[in-house]
Amino acid sequence: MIEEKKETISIPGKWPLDQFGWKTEQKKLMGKFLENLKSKRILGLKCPKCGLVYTPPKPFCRCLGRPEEWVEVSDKGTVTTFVLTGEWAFRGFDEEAPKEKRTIVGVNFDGSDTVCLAALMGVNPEDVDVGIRVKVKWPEKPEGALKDILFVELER
Amino acid sequence: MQDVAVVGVGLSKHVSKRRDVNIAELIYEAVSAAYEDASIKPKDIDAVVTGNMPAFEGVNLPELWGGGHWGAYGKPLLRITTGGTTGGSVVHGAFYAVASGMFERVLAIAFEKQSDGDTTMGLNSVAIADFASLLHFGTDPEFLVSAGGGAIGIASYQAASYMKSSGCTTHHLDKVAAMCRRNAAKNPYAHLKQPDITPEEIAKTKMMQYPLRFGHCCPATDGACAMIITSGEVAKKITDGPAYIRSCASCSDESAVVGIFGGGTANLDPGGQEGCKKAAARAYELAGIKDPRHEIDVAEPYAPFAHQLLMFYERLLLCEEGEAPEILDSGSMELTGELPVCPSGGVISTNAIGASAMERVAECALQIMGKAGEHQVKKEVHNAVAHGWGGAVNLNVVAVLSDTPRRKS
Repeated sequence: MIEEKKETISIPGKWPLDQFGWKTEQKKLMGKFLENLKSKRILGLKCPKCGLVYTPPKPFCRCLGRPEEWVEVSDKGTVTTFVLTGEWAFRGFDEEAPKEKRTIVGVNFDGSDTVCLAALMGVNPEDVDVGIRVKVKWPEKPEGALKDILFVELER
Repeated sequence: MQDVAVVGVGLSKHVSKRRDVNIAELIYEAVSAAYEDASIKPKDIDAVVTGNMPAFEGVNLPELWGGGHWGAYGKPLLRITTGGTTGGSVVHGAFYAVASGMFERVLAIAFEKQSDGDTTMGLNSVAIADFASLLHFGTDPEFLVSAGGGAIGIASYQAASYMKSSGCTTHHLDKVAAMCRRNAAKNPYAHLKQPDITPEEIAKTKMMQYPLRFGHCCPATDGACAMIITSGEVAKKITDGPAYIRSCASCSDESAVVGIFGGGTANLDPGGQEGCKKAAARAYELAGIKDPRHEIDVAEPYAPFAHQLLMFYERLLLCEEGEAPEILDSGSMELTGELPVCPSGGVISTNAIGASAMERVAECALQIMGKAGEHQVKKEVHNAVAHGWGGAVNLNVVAVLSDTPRRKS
């Protein structure tokens, strides 16, 4: 008989996640979007058929049109949804990292028609609600990666 | 198009861990009960449609395990896998097979034996398309973990926006959970039965992720459901009172909250569920239901989390948006009410994921056939609506069942 084990085990190794990444059109669109983050500019891609603006960009619209016109959108926006997470969530993959509660919000940047998830910093959970105004807390030197717009704070 | 009817329903015993049977044997419980209910034999079946989420069990090709147990040998077989909607999609598959005239008698099977695998790991494999790309484009891995993954993560975003737009309070969530668990106590096939639970007791359970407490969330269940679905002509020979499936409709929307592959999603409101509204409107139209609020007698929305019962009640066009909390307060959704909701106890009481959306259809069929037993609603049931929600949290499936076939136009 094989003994049934209750605990889990870790097997070291590497997983080539890049294989899931886009190779063609979306890669080009995201390249331009990310490059502009370096100069603290957030771009959106507008659908010529229905006018929806996608931030980050994507090549297919929900109306089945093909967004292609680049427009600049604001780094300020409105919270569309949120979650208040417990301490358990915030160590990420680092077991040693300090426990920390966080507020994650969905942000609809002004001038876009889409939602981006971001961590809302420096706010009491009681003050978080759908409809509050936030703005991107830019790093001093943006790297041109999605992490540049991952943190927002209340708009003063 | 042929008329389509449910003539037999079978359910297995549903609990957290069915250590007493394996996958094939678990399904056999439901399949044999369905055969018995319809008084037909496996040799009479023309085709089989089956479905589950293999990623959740960690067992692929489950039909190879169980073909013999299910009477599937030598017959056409189709497996369908669409996440939480799987069971509803299986019903669609069986419906299309019969409505098209290709088959007269179809066995539909949906199941999940979650205790054999790791559902969260399976969900990660579903979410890999979003997450791998976000990481690739420079999202902090720590952020992704904290952004609230899994089913409850997505449900929390949904609850936050639904509660804001509808005026639903945490007290309403407590009431929904208590109502469903009390209904479940009357259903011999339900998992979480709490006959005397009160909203106040639900309100004291542990907070999982705001605003959802432990009592507002579904259990993880092992269970199976099977249905015998035939043409209207065959149904008349088998039973005096079949439940006709008048229509099936589904709608695939952009995922809410996180766009796939790093792109933005214009599905701004995770509680909006425009896809459910579209699918419901299409299903009612195909079924010849002009005024769902008055013509539908029982609703089985897919609601693993308490707010979803109210949210999907609205999105199934059974009231105006924002009215559902008030309707709950009126008592209309109870077993004895005007439009009972989730008389089975719902997904919040029993969630064998792949089976759940089919069990909504099965419950509607039982209510129409008058075979629901202790949880049979008090009013007469002519029309019922069954719903499923899933895919990459973007697919909605709706079926309308009735005690009479669709009027030919």
